[in-house]
Amino acid sequence: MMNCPEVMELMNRYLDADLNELESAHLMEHLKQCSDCSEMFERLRHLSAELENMPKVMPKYSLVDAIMPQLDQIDRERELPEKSPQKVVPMKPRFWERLSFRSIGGVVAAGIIVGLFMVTYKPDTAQQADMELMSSQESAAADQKVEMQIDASSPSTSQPKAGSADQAVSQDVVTGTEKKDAEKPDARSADTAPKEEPTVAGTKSGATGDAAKAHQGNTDSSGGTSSNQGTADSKSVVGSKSGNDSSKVGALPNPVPPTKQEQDQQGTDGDSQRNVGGTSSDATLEDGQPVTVEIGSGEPRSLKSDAGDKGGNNLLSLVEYDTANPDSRAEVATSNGAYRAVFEKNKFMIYNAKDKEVYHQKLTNGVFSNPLWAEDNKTLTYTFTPRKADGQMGEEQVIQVKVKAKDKEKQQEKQQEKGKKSKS
Amino acid sequence: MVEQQLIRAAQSGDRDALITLLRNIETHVYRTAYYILNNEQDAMDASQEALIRIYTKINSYEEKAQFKTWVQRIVTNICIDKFRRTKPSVSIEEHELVFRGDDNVEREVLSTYVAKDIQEAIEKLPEHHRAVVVLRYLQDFSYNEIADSLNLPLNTVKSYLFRARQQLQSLLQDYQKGGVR
Repeated sequence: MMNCPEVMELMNRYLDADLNELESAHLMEHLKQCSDCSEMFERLRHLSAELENMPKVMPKYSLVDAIMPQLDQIDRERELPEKSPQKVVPMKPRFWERLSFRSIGGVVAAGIIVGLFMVTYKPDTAQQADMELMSSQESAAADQKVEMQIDASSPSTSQPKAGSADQAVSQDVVTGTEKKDAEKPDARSADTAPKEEPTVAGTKSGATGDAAKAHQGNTDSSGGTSSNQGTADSKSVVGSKSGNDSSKVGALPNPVPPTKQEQDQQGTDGDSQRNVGGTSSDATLEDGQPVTVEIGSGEPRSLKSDAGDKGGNNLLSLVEYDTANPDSRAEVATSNGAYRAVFEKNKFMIYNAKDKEVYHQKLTNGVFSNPLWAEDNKTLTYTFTPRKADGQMGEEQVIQVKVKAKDKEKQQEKQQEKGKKSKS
Repeated sequence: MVEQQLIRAAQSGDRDALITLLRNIETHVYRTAYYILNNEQDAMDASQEALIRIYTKINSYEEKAQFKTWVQRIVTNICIDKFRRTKPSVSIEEHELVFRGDDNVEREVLSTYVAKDIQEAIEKLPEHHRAVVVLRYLQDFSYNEIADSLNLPLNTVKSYLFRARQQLQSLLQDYQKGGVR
């Protein structure tokens, strides 16, 4: 006769279908005689059945899709010749390398802009611009002041070119609570608008990239000035065309901005504007109200300042996240507030309106810039520039993430499954 | 293509084959991670890490082992590492069985195990016991397959599994008592 611990093993092996006929017979015989074992057997059988019925959970999105950028990077790194000594290069030099590259970019951009000022504007204005440049290089604290100067000077400098439109711009800049927030998107979209680039988040031409980098390199003087330059450019476009429309809109206090909007949608790629836009300012446009939106950059700015208000953090205005810089952070929300995409701490997350995380991904080493929600409020596009093991920047690529509203279904499924469980 | 062909193609450098292979296994990988870590987010991270490791190490897979046990070894290793880093495991190795006859109340509520309770109970198991249970019940692995995946002797697998069952059974009984009173 077997003892109870021996039978315990048989019970377990029975559950795993590991018993032969003879062993099964032994087990059954013992169970008939021993009520303790028989009860334990019942319990274990029940437990085992429950374990087999555990929900067959599925990932909420395809994991392979999620890691695809990382896999691509692995492939690229494999193609590179091995440079093992450089792989051990510590973070700091790499960071400085980048910084210096950026500041060089910034200085070059600033130089170009200063040159343009010299050519384009009256001598006294050029001097002023020069001074602005100098002062901005002194410290970050000076930024505010510098921008104020630019604000003050811009109407006078460009008045001959396009009067009312320019005033609209400068007013807006002055009223913006966060200077940096206001400046950056302004410059970027102003830069892109005249070039008629189809997508802001898409492949950037060299010049745009340079300008963007100049911003990031804390050379706000070039940021400020280039934005002025940019708006001046776009204004001249507007100016020439709005002449046709002036009879229609002339009476409005701010006639040029809506005109510009129209032109953008007719003349250039309308979609690009739409992509950028889709915010509340669009609604005002449709209402036919005289709009306070300034040229070409109203929507992105309102997006940015939204994000800035929430966090109250200057860093938020950087629409770029760099894994090498642990303090950087990028955040964009959809115009309807349904989703928020956040890049921080080596992670990329999408939150829904209830601040629940709906997507989560670890980021590979590199720079993630220009995250932008499409008009459908579901598709996020951003540019990813991988950083290779040797610290060099790789080729930038545009990545699209689409949010599928699967949350509810998933929860319902879960509940159904639970329902089944408790019934059984 | 059957799995073996896919693996061979992947090993000879066919990236599409490798990606297809990863897609085929991602749910299995996730499921194991989910039940070992008992947390959706950690499971996502761990299974992405596992898939990347499989992607980079596909050439180290040898056909003498089963592919699925090789995959599960990778994911369980990652999970157990993660698990050790996040929470110090509480050892409940020796838990004496309650072999006494119990009252009828418990027998009546025997059928009210809820999936949530089971998951909670699994979470209380030591890491290797948990891994054994997950491979047995979520991956339908045999003793041998579990032993291959976890690199444990066959007898150890059995004793872990049996002990885990008794442990779970006893934990769930406690829950029920708590629920009844």
